[in-house]
Amino acid sequence: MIRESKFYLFLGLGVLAFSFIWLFLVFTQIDGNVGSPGNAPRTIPFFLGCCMVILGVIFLYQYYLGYRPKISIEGIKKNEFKNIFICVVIFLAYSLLLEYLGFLISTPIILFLLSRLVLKEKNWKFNILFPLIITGSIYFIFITLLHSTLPRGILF
Amino acid sequence: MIESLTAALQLTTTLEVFIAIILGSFVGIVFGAIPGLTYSMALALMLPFTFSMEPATGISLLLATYIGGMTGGSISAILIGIPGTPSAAATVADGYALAKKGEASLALGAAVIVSTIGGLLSLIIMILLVDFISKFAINFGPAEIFMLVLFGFSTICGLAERSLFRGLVAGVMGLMLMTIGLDELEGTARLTFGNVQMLQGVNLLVAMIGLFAVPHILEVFHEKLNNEDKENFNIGEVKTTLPGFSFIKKYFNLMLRCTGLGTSIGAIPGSGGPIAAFLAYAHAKNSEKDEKEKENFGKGNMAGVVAPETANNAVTGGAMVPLLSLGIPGDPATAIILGGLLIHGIIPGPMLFIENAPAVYSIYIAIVFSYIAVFFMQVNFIKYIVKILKVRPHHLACGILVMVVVGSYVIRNSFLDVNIMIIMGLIGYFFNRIQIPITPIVLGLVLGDTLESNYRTAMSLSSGDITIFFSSVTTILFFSLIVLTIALQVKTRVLDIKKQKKLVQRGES
Repeated sequence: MIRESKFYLFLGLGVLAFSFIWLFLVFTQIDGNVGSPGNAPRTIPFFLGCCMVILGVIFLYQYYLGYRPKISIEGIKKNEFKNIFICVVIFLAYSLLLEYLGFLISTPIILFLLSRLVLKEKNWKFNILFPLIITGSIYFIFITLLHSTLPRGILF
Repeated sequence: MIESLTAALQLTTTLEVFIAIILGSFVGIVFGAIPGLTYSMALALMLPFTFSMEPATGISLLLATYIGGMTGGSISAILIGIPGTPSAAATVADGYALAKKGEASLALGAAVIVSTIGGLLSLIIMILLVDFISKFAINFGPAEIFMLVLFGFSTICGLAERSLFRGLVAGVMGLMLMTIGLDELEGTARLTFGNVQMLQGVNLLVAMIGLFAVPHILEVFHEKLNNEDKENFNIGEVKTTLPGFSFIKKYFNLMLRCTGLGTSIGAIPGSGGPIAAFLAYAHAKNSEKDEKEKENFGKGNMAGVVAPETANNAVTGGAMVPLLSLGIPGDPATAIILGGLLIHGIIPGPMLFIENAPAVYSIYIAIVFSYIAVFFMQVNFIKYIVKILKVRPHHLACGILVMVVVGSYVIRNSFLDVNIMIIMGLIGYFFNRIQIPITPIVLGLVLGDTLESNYRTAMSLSSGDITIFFSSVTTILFFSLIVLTIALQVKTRVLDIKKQKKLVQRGES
């Protein structure tokens, strides 16, 4: 569990760090020579960055006063980071496979790998039939019924 | 009016619309019934399907999903004592107690009938209110609209999770994300890092798919990888028994009061179903004159099912009031519906009645048809619907994973959107973990554009004079309401802290 008294410290520092990065980007990534003062493309993003700074300061002040969250918050554990990382890799791998192999080939492959190797599913029906049924149903709905598009790969 | 109504009837009485309503109702009920899945997620997943549909068909699909989801939450609340949606949490106490007494069928029947009555009555109130507010709001200029949106935003951030500052962090982040891309007024690139694809900015729908669906997938996979996989719910034979006319007669007064309560709560941006349901439950208990009946609350009193179920469904009508009349969505579900309307070129707000009256009437008709479809399904197909509760969470998550990736891609045929969806999903997951509400991010994304464009138009009109935002009674009224909302939130928090400190001191002594 996050030590309750430290919650607002971490939150305040996190929000402040984010807002300073944002403000830096506002000045480096948005042209400042456009529009009039108070009404330029930079105005709202800059104002929002300032709001975030204020919110960060408020959280630090709450920490200083000894505030604690109403509901205790579980800290993020090491294996949670690992599991989330695995999930993100699956998402990215699927996205990459879609780009090269297209929907019809990459979807059954990724679903099979996901269920068999990652989720350690032993039910063969789920491992083999489920990927094929999902792929077929989505293809049927998007292409045949809705006349929409699905990712087509570079190779296929 | 008759012409518009006839046109709306022609738009909504097609085979495609009926199929969309049946499909939407089914998906909504299923997502509402399965604990962990939400109707907001169902709506986000349904959005990509609506792109190639006719506007009336697409909107009907979304509305049916919304209504099905709101009603479906009661199924698991009654049968297994776990609310399918937060809105059904108040139904658990008496609904589950009735099920344990062997009256599950009757409780399900009561829930479905009062949900339908509550929803349809709130529709009537909604039609009257939308018309009235639209006529009032039609005279709003950019300064008034800016202040109105800011007011809506302050209530949403404050009420989302009853933590104003954390809600504001999420809301400001949503607004920030909306500024990424091409600035339409000056044609300048903002925070795009020179990437041409980024000029399109963060797509609202991609962000919603990421925020609502991805955290659930991450959570389920994390549990499965940790071998903490949740058990599926194996429920035996279930059927819905509709209560007789005497039941409606007995509870009609309570239903009317709860409909009024639910519609009013729903119309306040940021409040929503759970608050309405709990208030209605408390009202039903407090207004009960018979002491015996009062004591029976929580032990299987039918009024404990009737009140929350009527109120949470009446919220659907209430939540559509600010959406249709002012273009301000009150909760994530109506924000997604707004996204769906915008895809089809229907821009909610006071001008909608003048520019596209048939669209408004087709929304009303679709809501009526959706309630009928949901009622029909819950009465006749409940035994098949509960079988879906047996599906293991990680099996469902695999299917949802494919849907979210494909759904994000088809919006603009862009793999960049898939990556943005993943980033938004990670934000959603970690925000959930540290209890920062994600609803304000969505509303920041939805309202950001209106907020900025009206601010800059007002500033251009006043040649940079900021007093334009305090130049009319309406703007001053909205400004006062913003200050009042923030002050009330701060006061509540300060009182909470004082209470906490007293408890700690008592514990120490």
